[in-house]
Amino acid sequence: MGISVVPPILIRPRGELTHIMTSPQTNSPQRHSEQATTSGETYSVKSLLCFATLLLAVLQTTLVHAEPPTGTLSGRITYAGPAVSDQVFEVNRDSAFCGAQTSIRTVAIHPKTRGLEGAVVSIDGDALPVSNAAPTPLMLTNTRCTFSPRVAAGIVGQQVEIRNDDPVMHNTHISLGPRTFVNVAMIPASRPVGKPLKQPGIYTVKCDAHKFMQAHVLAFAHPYFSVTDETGAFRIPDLPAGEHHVTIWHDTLGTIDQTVTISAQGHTSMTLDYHAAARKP
Amino acid sequence: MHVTHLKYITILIVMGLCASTAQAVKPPLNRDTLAEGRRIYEQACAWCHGIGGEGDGPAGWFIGRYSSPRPRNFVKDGYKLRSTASGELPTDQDLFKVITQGIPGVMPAYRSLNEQERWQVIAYLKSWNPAFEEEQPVPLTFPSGARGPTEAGIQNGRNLYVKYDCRVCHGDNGEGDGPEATAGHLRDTYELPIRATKLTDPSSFKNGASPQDMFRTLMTGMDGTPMPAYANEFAGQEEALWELVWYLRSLSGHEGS
Repeated sequence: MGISVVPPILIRPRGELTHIMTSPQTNSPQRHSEQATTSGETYSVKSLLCFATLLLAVLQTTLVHAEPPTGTLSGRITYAGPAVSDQVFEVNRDSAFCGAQTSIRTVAIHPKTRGLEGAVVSIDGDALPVSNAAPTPLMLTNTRCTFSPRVAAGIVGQQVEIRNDDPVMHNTHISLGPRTFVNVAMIPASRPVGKPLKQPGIYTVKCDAHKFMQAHVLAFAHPYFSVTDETGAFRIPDLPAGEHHVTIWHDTLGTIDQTVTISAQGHTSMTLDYHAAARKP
Repeated sequence: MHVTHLKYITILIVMGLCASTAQAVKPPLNRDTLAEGRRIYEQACAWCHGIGGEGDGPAGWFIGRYSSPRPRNFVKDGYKLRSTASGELPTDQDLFKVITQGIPGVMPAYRSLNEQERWQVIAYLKSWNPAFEEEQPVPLTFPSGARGPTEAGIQNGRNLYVKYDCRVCHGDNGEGDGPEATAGHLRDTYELPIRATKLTDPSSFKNGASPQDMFRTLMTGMDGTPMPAYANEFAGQEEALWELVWYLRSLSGHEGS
């Protein structure tokens, strides 16, 4: 794993700004006014004071209401461990369409980058601002007797939209722990079924009609997460600057925790190999 | 004339009293209600559902150890028997109905408790799951304007039974012997084996066997089991769902409602 931190912090913390802004107002201008003896000098000192006060007020307004510093975390999750065989299942229902056998690639590695697809990189967000739900629904499609995507992530409140593109019936059964989130029949050409994610957590998705169909939906209270693409790449923008606890989750390889420092107004990169990280004590 | 008026007034007063009594028996949610609910729960429910409501009472160790259903875990489980959409919590009325009627083959009816005691127990068991404070369960709308069974309607219900793959679990003739059931593929939320309901035996229907009960079960599904909700599939086509209900009832020899 390599973590490179790029630019330094550009904006000082709010406490320091307040100190800088108040010090000239209380010290040096007062000393100047005490030393002034003529009316002209008094007038110019007063003008200076007014100007300084005005300038400080403008600066204070601008800086205090400025957006907190943020940065982007991006990089790649790889897997350089021993090859993981696809899971092969006998199909005992709708095999004319689904095939007599089906194989599920649980560990999908990109041949060039060794990137791991479908890992979820997220920031542990107890202290992070809660986000409003994204306007676009999170699509979960029954297609060719699989769920697409096999791993999805969304924000609490975001609509999960279930579709069935297959000419056979599925039931999409999503649970959070022992509690059903939704279990709906999806016959061919069903109208989509939507339901907003209720709370953060790892939702399991299955089709009781076709046991080999499985997927996961991860829900967060904030937008600081990313699902790795087919090359293993991920990107989390607008992350508050500072130190963060990062969790990388994969449905069969498990979970890895990391700490990363995000630089403000810049880019922090993180490359992590699942196999190497998992072997660390 | 005066006597007739008095009769009407008396009837209205009696009806009003009945209505207000039905409302009055649901006690306010306060410490006394919870304390009383706890006392009754520990006498009547804890044997199966556990002293802490986690479905792990002494009898619960045997019930559902090897096959579904387990006693409900009131702390974190969802609920099968509801009038609400799939994945939602039950309404208080849903819980009251289950306690009053029991669940055939699984849980006794608790008519021995008076209505106030049943409401007190409901208040207590809900207190374990914070979701009841966060969510507002809303019952689905169940249209009552069914035309009643007809030969053509029952035939169409049969077609729907095939179209919606009901037979895969419940069998071609509703005997609960569909290929998924006989192969042992059906599992509940805890991966315990679960049987498909034998549709030819209405006395075993956990969610009730009246036409309205069956309509509701098809709409809501049975959370925690493979039985999905069909509300989406039949939205705007409730008459077709009634035809499926008439067909299901015909499997046990019922001709109509």
